Amino acid sequence: MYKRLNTRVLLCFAVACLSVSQVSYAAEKLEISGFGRLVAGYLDDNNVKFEGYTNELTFSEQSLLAIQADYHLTDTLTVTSQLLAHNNSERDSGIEWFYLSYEPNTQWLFKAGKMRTPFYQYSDVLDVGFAYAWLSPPQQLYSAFLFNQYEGLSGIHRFALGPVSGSVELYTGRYHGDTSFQQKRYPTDIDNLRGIVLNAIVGGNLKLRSSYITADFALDLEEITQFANILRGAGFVESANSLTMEGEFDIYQAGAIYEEFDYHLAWEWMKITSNTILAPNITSYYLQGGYVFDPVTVNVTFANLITSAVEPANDIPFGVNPGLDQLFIAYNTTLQRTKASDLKSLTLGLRWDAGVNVAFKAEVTHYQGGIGISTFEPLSESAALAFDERANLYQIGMEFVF
Amino acid sequence: MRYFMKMSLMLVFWGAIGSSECAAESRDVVVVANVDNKDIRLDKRAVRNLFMGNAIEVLLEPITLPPETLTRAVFNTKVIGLTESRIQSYWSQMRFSGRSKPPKEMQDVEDLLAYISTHKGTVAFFPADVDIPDHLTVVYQTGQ
Repeated sequence: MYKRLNTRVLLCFAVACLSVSQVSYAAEKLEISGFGRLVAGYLDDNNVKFEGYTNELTFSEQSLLAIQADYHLTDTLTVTSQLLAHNNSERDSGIEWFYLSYEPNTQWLFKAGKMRTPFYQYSDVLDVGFAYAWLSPPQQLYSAFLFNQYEGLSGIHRFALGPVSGSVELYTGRYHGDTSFQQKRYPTDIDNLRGIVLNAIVGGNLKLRSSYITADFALDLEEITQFANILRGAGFVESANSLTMEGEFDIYQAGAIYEEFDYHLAWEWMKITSNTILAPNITSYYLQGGYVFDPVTVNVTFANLITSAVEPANDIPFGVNPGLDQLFIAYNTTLQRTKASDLKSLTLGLRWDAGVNVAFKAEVTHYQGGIGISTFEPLSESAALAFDERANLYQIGMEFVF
Repeated sequence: MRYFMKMSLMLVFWGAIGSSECAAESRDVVVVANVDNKDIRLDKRAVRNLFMGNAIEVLLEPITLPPETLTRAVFNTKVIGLTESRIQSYWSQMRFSGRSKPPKEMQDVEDLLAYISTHKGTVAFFPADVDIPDHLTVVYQTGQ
């Protein structure tokens, strides 16, 4: 039902956007632009689901359409709104960005409102497939596991220093909404979000990016939270606390892109640490190389995600009485169910720029990894046992901007 | 239907860009600014950063030509060092992340020259054989 509704919204939006694109706006104060993508994907394994993909061809996981309106109140003040219609049931269609920007000169830019969180190189344009090489950016970094937006303030200072042209961005804010993974939504509160992003272009060809983000977070995992409350009531505070998704996280990121006319090399790395047992520490990176046979670009990407081992609490005794044994088993089963898993992938992709604003892509990714909360989701208990921890994802798609 | 016609036209343009990028190798461009200080000279890195929306030590507003023009293909090849598709991809990232916007575009060389001539603090690239009015300053030239 929800999906059908989203499809209707998407279709209405498509018609509206195409009509809008035909209109010539006499008013220079208003700029209309937009982007969209139509992506089909198929996973060649019938035991698991991965990022919503199964072994049935689907168009609904990543296809979307968005329209952006920039209204210039004065030469330096602009209101920007981005409306997005998505066909994925894990995401809401609606206002994605809504902010006021103040740009007194080319060196300073301030924004206030609802914005996308600039975790990594492409985090704030994750929906704009035209902006990057892949159909699915490396899941190891760009998974929907994290919240995408925040409400707050951001300031960017651009500077030139000898052979370096760079920028510093500082932002702060909060997010009160849902986090989605494996088709479930969990109420999430992110507070005291603070981040810094450093960008530098050295000598024209080398782009460097580094960022740091920290925030307090609280996720209500419903049945797990209820179980933790039972454990707390029974006096097993250590076990109860280990099932609580509440604490502080820090994310460190570094990346580099080297571009020449006919090839590029890219690397990005990130590390997430938190003070909760349930949210494991994660280190991810990818290496990418692309060669241009203009207008076609061939890309190869290797990506890796390494999770830290979770140390379970041990305050529930085992072998004392059947009631406690049941609690012990339930606790360990819960921990097992929320376990994250390592994931490696190798992607071969083609991008054909058929026009200045249209690109077609084809991509195949070989994944190796276990069942886990942000990787493979088993379709049944028996499928979980049958899964050999390997699967290939095939995707084709069209990206456009207007 | 109109959309598909647009798409077909874009494909034709793209073919033209492909061939113009081959032709681009043998041509040169001049980068011209409307500034009071006639001694200003920029190097290739500064011009590249300027037209890619990055900060440089001189405050100038870049103005450009449409993607399907040969002069832009020469400029992309010899100064920016990226294909048009990479440049478009880059600008979509900048625009939709709210960081910066691509330079203003003029339809042809005549319009561009007229605009630069009358707007202080602007800078643009032209074919090397275009007559540049005396009040404008050549700040960079390829092939030298």
